[in-house]
Amino acid sequence: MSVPQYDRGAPPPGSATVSTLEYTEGGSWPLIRRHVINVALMILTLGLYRFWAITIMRQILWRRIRFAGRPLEYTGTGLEIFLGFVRVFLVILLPLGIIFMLIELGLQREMPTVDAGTVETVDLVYLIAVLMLIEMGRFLSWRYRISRTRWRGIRGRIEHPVGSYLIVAAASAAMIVFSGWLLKPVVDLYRANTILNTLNIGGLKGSYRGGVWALFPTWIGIWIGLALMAIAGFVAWFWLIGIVAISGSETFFYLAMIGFGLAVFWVVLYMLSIYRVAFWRLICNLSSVGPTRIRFSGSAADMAWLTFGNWLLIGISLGLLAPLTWERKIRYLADKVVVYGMPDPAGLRQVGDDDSAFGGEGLAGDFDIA
Amino acid sequence: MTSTSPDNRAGPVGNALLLDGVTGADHRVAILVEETGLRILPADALAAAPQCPLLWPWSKVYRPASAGEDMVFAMLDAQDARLTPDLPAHARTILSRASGDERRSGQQVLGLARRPSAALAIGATVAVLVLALVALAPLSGVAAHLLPADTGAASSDQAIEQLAASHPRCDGTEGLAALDALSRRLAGAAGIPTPQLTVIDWDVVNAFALPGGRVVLTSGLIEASRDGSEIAAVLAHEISHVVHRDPMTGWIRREGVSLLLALLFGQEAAGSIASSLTGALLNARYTRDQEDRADHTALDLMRDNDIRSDGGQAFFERLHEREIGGTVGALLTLIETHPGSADRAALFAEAQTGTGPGLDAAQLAAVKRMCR
Repeated sequence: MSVPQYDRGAPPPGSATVSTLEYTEGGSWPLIRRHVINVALMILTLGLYRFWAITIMRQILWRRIRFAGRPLEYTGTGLEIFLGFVRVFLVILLPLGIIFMLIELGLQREMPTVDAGTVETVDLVYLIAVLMLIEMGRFLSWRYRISRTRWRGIRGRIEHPVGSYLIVAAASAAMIVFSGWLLKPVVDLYRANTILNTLNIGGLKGSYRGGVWALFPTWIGIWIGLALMAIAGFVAWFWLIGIVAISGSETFFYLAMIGFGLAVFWVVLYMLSIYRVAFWRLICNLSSVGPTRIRFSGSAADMAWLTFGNWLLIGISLGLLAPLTWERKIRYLADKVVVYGMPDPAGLRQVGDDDSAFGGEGLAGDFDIA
Repeated sequence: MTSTSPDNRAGPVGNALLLDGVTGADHRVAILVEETGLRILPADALAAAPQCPLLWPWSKVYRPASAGEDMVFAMLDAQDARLTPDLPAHARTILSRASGDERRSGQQVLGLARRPSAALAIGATVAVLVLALVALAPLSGVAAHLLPADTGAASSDQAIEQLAASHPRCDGTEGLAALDALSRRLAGAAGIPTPQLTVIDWDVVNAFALPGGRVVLTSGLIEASRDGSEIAAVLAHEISHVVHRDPMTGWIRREGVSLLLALLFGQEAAGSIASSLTGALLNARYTRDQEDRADHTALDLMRDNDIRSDGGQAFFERLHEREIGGTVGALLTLIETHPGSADRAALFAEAQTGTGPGLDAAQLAAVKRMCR
């Protein structure tokens, strides 16, 4: 299985100018040192300091990213994210928790007369509600980060209203659950479509010209591949047990299981990387912001290695080397993303501040997978 | 304009790059230090003029936190503008005079400071913990009493059925009748319906109450009892839990603690060691309070039924002999869900609630035969 090529990373017609995107090295140790201090403060505050910790790290990392020679600036604050989290906690998570607690109490009270179908329906609604929160968390996270990111003093903005995105989030969650994750690429592209077509950076409008079904064939292949992997896993398991029963060698069993586990891990990681790379290629190649066009030249193999390396770093350092993984991600993007066309700085006009009632990142601190 | 040596006197300083925060265009400017503030002069008369104020009063000039260690300046009335002096020495001159504070900016959040602050995070943590320690227990109790008394009975029955699958019910009719009669007397004194009592064949010494008015005794507890008043004390204690709706209160409180822990630690840290330990400490504190209250109520019920409290004293003294002492024991009390057995024995010793055994010798013998 290979990654669909789409525009094969070729420069868009009429866009000879290349604007550099680079990560300027400031040394990893200052980042790690700050991260260790942040972890200590998070332990001291039972985790609440995480909002300020995220802010400090973003301020440092953003300054090191330069587009067309100029650094980005992150103007968000820990307090904003903290209050955004508290707001969403009080408005969404707490009521939802109480509602489901009451439903559970009601079910307990009526248990003898409640059929299994009702219980399963409640569980399904609960799952959809949680997925909806994840979707909202992602949206609020993107919205907040873009509104607090500046280049040449000009900030970006996602203009899609937060309130109406709740409907998008609910519909997305329901689609994913009821399709058994088959419609995941449709939901992913619908979200990207919503965000990109309401993106405004200094008056330059974002645009995504692709459809929402473009990644469906790729995902179907991966979905079937993952299902076959699961079946192969069961077959191999029983085969290995049979070998052990015949030979009586447990050493062989354990070695074979480790080898098989690593093989499955790598294949699954590679398959998911195929999807992620296909997604980024499609989004980059079919999107624009004003006169700029983007191309993504990453491959599934290097995406898989990036992910594997980052998991390894986190695993062996118990998270203390997390800054290295952030740097690796940014370096990867800077290396694989090429921006064609340069916006006229004088033509960039400041957009209004994002003063949404749901400011901050909401539950992104919890559900941030973006 | 060429630079002069930086100092604090009014006069020319040097050149800088200005982003006016209105467009993305660069503005090459000259900067002059004046008594009242920083004067900005466009260096290129032919270029478009900056669209931000060109006199920045010292009281409003500040270094934005987002700039880190970089020598970049902003002004409270034009917070999107950024001024970067060409030379570090010039920047230091401005820094020596700037007294603006980003925290006084118009982008304050709820009037609070925007600057990252560990103190604020610690304050919020303390507030959440105070909320958890002070408000959650009474609120859970109120909520439990607002619900119908039989709420949770069905799931309690299911739990007992599951337990009975591995530990069969003891269904000796004489013994069950004796225990039911005692339950009825104790519950009657409390003014509640008689709880549904189950005895299971399990050799651990235990008794517990479940939501919906269900009480379970183990055969191990009955075997360990040497006198009818010992069983009466334990039963009175469990019925007191039913009186106070403690099982339902505990369930609501644990859900509340989970929500508060989600607020503190975030969902992704749920189940972490720190989160679990905090939850265990909070829940243990609450349950110790509940157990203490149940002991006092049990003594009242026994007093109303003229049942001796020295049986409870003897029972808890024997339990105390099994407890771990020393430093380890002292540390374990932090996460213990019950008060110390020695303290409970002393409480029952002082109470002097009556003279009767609760269960007479014949009834005690019937109860002890239940599981055989």
